[in-house]
Amino acid sequence: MKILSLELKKKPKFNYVLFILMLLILIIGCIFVYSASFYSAEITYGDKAYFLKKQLIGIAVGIVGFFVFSKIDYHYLAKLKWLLFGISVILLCLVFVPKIGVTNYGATRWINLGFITFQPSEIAKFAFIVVSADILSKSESKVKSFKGILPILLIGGIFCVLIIIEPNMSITICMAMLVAVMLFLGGMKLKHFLILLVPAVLVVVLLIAVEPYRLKRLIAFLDPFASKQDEGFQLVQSLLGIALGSVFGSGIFNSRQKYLFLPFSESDFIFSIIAEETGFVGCLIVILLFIALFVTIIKVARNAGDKFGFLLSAGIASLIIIQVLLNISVVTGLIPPTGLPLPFISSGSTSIMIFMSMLGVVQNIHKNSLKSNIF
Amino acid sequence: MSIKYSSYSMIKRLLALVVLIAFFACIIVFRLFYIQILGGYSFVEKGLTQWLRDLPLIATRGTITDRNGVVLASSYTTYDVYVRPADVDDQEGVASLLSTVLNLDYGKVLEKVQNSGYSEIKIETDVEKSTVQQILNNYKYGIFFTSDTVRNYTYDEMLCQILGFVGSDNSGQTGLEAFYNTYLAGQNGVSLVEADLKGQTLPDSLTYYEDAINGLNLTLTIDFRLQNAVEEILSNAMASTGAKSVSCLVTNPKTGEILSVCTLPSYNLNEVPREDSSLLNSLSRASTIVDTFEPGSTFKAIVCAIALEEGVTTIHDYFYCAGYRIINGVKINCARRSGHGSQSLVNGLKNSCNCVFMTLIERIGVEKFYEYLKKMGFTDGFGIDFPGETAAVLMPLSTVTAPDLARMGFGQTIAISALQMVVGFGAVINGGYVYRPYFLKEMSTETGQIVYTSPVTTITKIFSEETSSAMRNMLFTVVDSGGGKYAKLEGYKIGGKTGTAQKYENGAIAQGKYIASFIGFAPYDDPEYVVYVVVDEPQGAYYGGVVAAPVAKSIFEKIFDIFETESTESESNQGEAIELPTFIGMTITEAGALCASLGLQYLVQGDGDYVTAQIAGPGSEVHKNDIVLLIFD
Repeated sequence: MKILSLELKKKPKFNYVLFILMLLILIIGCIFVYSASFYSAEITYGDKAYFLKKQLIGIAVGIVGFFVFSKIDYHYLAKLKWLLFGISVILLCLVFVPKIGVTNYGATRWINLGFITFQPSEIAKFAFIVVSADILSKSESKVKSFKGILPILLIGGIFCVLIIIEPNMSITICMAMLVAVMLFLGGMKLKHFLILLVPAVLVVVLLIAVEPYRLKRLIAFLDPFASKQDEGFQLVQSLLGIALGSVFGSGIFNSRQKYLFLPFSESDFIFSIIAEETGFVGCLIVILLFIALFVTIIKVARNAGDKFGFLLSAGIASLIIIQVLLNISVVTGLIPPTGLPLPFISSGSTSIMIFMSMLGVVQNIHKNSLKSNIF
Repeated sequence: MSIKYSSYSMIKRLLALVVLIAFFACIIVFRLFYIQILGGYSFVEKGLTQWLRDLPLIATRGTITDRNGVVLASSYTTYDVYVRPADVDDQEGVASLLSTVLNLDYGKVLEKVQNSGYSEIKIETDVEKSTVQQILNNYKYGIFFTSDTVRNYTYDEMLCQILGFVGSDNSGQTGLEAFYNTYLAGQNGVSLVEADLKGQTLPDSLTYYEDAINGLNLTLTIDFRLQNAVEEILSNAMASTGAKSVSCLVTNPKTGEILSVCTLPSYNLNEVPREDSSLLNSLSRASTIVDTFEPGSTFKAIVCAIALEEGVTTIHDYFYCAGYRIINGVKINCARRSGHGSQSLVNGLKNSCNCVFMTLIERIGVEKFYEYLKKMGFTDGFGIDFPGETAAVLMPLSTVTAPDLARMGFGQTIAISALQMVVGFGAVINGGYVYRPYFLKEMSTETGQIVYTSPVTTITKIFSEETSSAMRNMLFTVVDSGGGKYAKLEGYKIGGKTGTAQKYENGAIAQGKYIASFIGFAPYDDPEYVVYVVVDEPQGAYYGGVVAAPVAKSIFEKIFDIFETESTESESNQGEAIELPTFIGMTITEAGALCASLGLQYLVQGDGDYVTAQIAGPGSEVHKNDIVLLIFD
């Protein structure tokens, strides 16, 4: 601890570890987005690099977002929390406005602003972290009572409802987990957790009952090979690719599954392509990079200048790692398929820009950590 | 280092979160370890069928030719035209090209081309190569062809039961097509192409390519010229006799080669009547090989040879025919009810006297007789290269009564195939050799390299040359001046035997139903051809000598014509000339001894004690091995 405190006495300017880890993961993302998509991109858009270019644009905007947010004092975000919440709710509602909302694969998750199509739910996740971090940091004693956590549950609930009716089960789950993590870190009593668990399970059962396709997916998940041409197709193809990867993989760009066999190979199922091309070793490296990123942000949280900074950065770390674990669990068949991008890697500019901006916020929290010197 | 602003331990909760995350990360890593390293989904090989599209390369079926290379059955290629919608760039262009060249409706073709629900759609089948070339000249991406071979039989009905036909999968179903299917079919090749989910070939895709091995070509022992003539002659015979069926076999008695085989009625191999399976079954039976019948008197030649070989008779032997014999209380008639009286063995054969052969077979005995049949391969089959060869139908040895045996003497109460008759008769006249009959002369590759030549296979030597020589001489007289005289061809030396068998139906004699037959050979002193003609249920005249012998004569005529066998006259100018002495007044023993000393052969006719006349006359110029006919009246 002495060494640590010595370190802390240095003035942290810029968290290079955070930045380098981010860049590494982004580079990996670019390589595999290209590898996974050049064939289908050529067929669909006549341009092998179609998805890579989109990715690079997203990263370019994301870099701007990163530096902008690293310069803005994160406390400023607390002041803007209701604005963020309002914008998120409006955007989530805009999804349902004809001509603005874009429907794909039976779900209306995107809005089209003409120059860019993006998912408001990505912004909502960030907005929730900001709002809940601020509320929790200000009402420390209230958190102990069940009443005190109700505002958080209400805000989380509004987001969850708006997202589930898109429908987008996976981001809803992600959001729900985020609510749980924020409350946990915010100091909620553990017995309240158990009380909340009962209605949560009931809601999940209800949601499955309402949309029969979820049950179908669930059954397909339990035995993907029974329906390998229909519901189980994607999972079977994903498992096939992962299995083929073996220890060292088939080599970068050598995936066979990208030849239209694996749907969404450049987005939600990109990890399967990584597994096929780089094998167990490559998978381990990618997972370790994400763990390292998580730990780096957690470190920032621990050293944060105040509780808001602590909750904000820990929330961001949790969001990233939750999404990583959920995504890989889906791809490896541990949980039923849901559409969730792998942060920083999956193709999808909204996701990348927002995650990078969030890391900018973390960078700012880091920069301000010594000033307050709370630990 | 305590947390100033919090009463709970934030660090603890943070640590708990990290531990929880690490736990889930471990589960994921173990999951990956299970899949990637422990092979938890080792069914990955399944993927190979998903990633590769195979295009079969069809081997061309071998051709079947006659012994001189005349093509009897061959395969040609037709093409199927496909479109792979995923590969088509110019849908309208493809549709207009295909609809124009293939004479199809533009709209319907366009509909197929635009149907992306399938990786491949068949546009047209059985397209000729020239049409394919037309499409290739204006080729548009996305059009594909597959080829298939179609079997064509050059001469429709010719040899239909023997060649057989192929099924829709191009594999032989009957006849030689079935027997040699493995060799004819060759081996299909395969080409594997890496493709995407929609079946489109990948750029730089590794392909596995195994070329098709085309089938071997068969050269048969059949002679097309002869076959053609035989089919024509039989068809005329069919018309003139009104018979139910007419069959013929022509073989080379020195080898067992089958030179011609024909059974009428026949059917067109190019239009196999598949819809009527019972009709097809009866028409496609190679009945000369797979069916048995009671041969009748032609069988006497075999009985006679066995008797001579066994020494139970000699050519000097005499028999008495009263027109019937009563054996164990059963009266068995001779064909001539008034009887032939006393007659020599040769006259017995010439007259086709049943009494003589009842006596002969009695002397041989049923055990010995059956033993001969077994040795000759009648009970086990010869191993001909043809499916479904039948064995002779014999009464069980223990149940054969004396009257049964007596009837076997003239070819009744015993059923054999035409093939067995021909092979057995061949042994009678070829010096005693039973040769395995065969259809395949040789097999060769498509480049003409011969990879297999059928050997001549001797099953057994059953008769001595003496027996055989005597049989040749006697059978010559049957044609020369006996019951087979309608087969006699001026200037040629033909020997043979007629047969008129009563047909039995349900165990009783079928009134008015006969099988008329003639089996002959030529040249009689050095047989090169055996011709067997069987007329089943002729209308009107039914004697073998009247119905079948003329048919055989026509066939011999064609044989000599085709093979340019030199006639007796020119051929006999071999060996030193001998001035024929007189035999008149000599006994048969004296005359026989004189002939032997001069190297002449002789035949005996009449029942007298002394030679009363001779042919040729005294002082004639003859050659060694010529035959002198001695008449005892």
